[in-house]
Amino acid sequence: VRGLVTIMMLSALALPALAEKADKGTPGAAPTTEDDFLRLWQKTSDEVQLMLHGFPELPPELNLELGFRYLEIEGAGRVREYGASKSFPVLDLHGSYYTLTQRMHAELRIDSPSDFDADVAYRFKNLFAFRGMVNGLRRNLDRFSLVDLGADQRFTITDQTRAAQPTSDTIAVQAEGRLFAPGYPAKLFVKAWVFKRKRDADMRMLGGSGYFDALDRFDVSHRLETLQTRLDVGANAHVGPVELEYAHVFDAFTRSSHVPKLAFTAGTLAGTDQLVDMVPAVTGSRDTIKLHTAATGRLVLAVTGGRESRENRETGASGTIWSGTATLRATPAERFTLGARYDVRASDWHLPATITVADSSLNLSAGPYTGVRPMSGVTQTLRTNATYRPSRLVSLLGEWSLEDKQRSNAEDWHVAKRTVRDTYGGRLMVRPSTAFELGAGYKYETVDSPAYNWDPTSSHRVTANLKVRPLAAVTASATYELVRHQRNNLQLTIPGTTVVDGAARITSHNVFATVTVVAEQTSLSIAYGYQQFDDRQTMIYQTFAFEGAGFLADRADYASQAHLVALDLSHAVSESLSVGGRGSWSSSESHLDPSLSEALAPVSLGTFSSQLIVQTRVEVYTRYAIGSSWGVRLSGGFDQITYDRSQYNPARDGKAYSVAASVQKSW
Amino acid sequence: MRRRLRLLLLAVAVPLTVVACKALRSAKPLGDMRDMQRMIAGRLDAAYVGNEGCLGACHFHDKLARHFEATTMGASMAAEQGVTQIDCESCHGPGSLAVEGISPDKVRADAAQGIQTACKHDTLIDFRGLPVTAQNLLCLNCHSTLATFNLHEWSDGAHARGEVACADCHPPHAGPDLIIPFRARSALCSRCHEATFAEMALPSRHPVREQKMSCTDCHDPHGASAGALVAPTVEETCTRCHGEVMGPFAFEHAEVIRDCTGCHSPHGAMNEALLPVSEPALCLRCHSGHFITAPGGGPSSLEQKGMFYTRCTDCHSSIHGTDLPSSRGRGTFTR
Repeated sequence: VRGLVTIMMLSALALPALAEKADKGTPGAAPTTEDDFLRLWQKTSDEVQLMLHGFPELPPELNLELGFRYLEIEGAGRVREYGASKSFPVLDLHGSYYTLTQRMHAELRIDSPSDFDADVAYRFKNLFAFRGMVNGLRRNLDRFSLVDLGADQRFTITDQTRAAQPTSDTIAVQAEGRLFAPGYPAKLFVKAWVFKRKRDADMRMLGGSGYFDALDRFDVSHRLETLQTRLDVGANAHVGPVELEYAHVFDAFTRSSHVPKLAFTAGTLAGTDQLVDMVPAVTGSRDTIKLHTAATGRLVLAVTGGRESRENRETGASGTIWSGTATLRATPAERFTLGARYDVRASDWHLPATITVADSSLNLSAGPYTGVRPMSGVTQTLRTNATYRPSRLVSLLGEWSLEDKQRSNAEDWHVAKRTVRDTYGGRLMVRPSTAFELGAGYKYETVDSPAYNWDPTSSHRVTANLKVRPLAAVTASATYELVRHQRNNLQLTIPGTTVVDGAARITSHNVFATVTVVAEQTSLSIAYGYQQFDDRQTMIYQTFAFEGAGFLADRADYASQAHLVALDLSHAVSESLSVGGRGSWSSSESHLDPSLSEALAPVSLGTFSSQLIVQTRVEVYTRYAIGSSWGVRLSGGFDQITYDRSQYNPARDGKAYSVAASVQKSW
Repeated sequence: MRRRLRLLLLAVAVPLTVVACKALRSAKPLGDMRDMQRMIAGRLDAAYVGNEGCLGACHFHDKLARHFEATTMGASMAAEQGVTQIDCESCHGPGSLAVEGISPDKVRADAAQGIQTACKHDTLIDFRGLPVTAQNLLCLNCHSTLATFNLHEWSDGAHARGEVACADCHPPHAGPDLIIPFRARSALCSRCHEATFAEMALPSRHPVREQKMSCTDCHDPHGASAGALVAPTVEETCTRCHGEVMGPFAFEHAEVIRDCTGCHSPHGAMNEALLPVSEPALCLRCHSGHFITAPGGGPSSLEQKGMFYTRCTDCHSSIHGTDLPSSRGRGTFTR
């Protein structure tokens, strides 16, 4: 790896010198305007031919925007969940430079010290290419509070939170370098991914107790720093009738050395300081081989094989995953295409018989302990599809897939040893003209021995979409999706046993419609979305001290629905002045009806989780161009989030106002 | 001895590498599409005239051609590169009939009269008039045989089956830069996936609208091994950023952490943490609710209900998995 990286770095360093040399050998400046070309006509045909194939050397371009954004937030910072939470100067820079030998594109945007992004692409001839992206983001997290509902001394809350407004700062770096063989399709590549996060981990947890009638709950926060790195090194080449790629990936996830401790006050660990939220360091690697034939043949074959290993550095838990995929695409007739795909994935997870935390500095007060043997297994999937195009206006697609999942130690987890999933689907697309498109689809799925309750015994999914353009300036589209899951013989776990009983029926509707009008100087877009989800299923509740098998509630109901309205408008008042605005309003609510008399008194337990959230966002802007290279931009924004207010759900409402002014200059 | 061995190995390896490279170069990198393109154009009598023929006859002053020349593909076809693989006719088909009767003199005379000389386009391949699959074949002719492995899964991908044209996202004459900037990627996807973008207006979502994430961070539009163009698995896609829940752990949440979409709705949800169903209802789908009755019978108190039925993760805080046992030595994710 070091060798490859060194070769690529040296190549990158040598490129400017090579570029200079190559530039000297390039014929004179190539024509860039129509007049240049007309002047060329006056020259001899030989000269014309020479200039015709000269690279159109484009002059460098640079666009700069510099300004200031004033921002004021009232209440919960989450009203502006992503982005700067304070006023700050803003900068936006965009530049490009294209010559035959060197081609470069760069963008930089800074909204605050924690909110920025950059995107740089560089290419030297057909020999070297680089793309790098950096992205910094501040996230204003939700701040949940534990609510003390009464004066019962058996239940206590200890608040040890540190940050009034918890935040998460992340920096993501992606880079890719490719070194091409001159004149032949083969290359070496290195890809890097670095993801660094500093987060106020705001945790609520059980501080100790031991039993359910006397609980001490803690509300604690600590600063958690994690770093994730991934290096992907490989090569690919055209080799005779096929293409081949090999890649090796190094993966590492590390955390800051600090692991928080909590003083346990009751239960088996009473009087001890215990580690909590110990995010483990994990290392891994992966080898992948890919091979495919040309995608233009009547038969197209692609094969992928890989082996992945992963190890938890704290406990020694480890795993190996072998995976393989083969896809075949055949076009036996002009209007008919067949596809088949086979996937296999075998995972083998290991856990040491007894666990001792590897890092002694963590000072775990409990001795070696045993974990729960993880689940390994083999999953095989066969997917087939056929596409038939009776005419250029109509396409029909049929699909069938079969998934067979086998688990090695399913009995430890009280789940099915083998699950088989059958899926059938079809889709029709009709495009009689560019002004009309209609699509409809249906999918039916059956699952034999589902392992988890979200898996259905049978499921239906219907989709439809329509796009019409009644006038050249007007486009309207609508989509609809209906999903209905039916599940029999739910597996409901209660300490010590698994109850197999009851049923679940889930119905969801999704509707989205939009109308867009694009006139000469004005564009307007209006959108409406609706989402409804309803889950009626058997739930199980424990009695006190696990007496009996618990209460089965046959028709507990969880329902939610959301509405969204959005509007986007832009208008060019004159050649130099444009105005616009966009806004959205959403309302989301959910409620649980436990369907059991014991769960309804003294209040329904659904009361503690019911919610209504309303979000409003508005932004208006104007841009005035001064001459061909200067411009001024003004914008203003308003954001609001409100939650339902009740004694059980503390309000997390917030409002944000922003005003920004900037100057733009182009070169 | 060891040094001699190394020298011997080097002496064998260098000529072998040279021979291997020569063999590689002699392998045809591109399939011969010429007859196929003649058939697509519907003119078997057309001949290939090369860039000189096309540009020399009339296209030398065409802005489209100039912009294209400045792209990476254009850079490959520039004469200085010495690469002959890509030219106008690679996509547009044989051009002899299109430029028949057109000469620089005629173009110049027309230009002097303010007339743009008409090219006989109907003898070329009507690119956008072709079925999408055929359009894409013209692109794939080079882009699946030039060690471009981002198209390894293309043939089986949802976009290929859904008849999405390469040019829908990568218009080849759009300008000098064919790179899709990071900030522009999601807007490109939203043109077709409007309903998915509507989900991103729900209270819990990823920062796609803020242009801090793009769809391609999770989805590979060129095809991927898992469904919905997610590559290579849902678990790996999510843990690329959320490595703290990757494991393996001493106490795992069964297979739940191998498929995040069992509990989370990645495009957007009304509940915190991208949960389509809020706690405790989400957990109660599989697990029993804690004590619903008080000691001695009758409903449990307000305090108990509030504690057990607000958010399960208030106590089971390491719900994805943990290496630490709970206070009673079990794996109930309480720390």
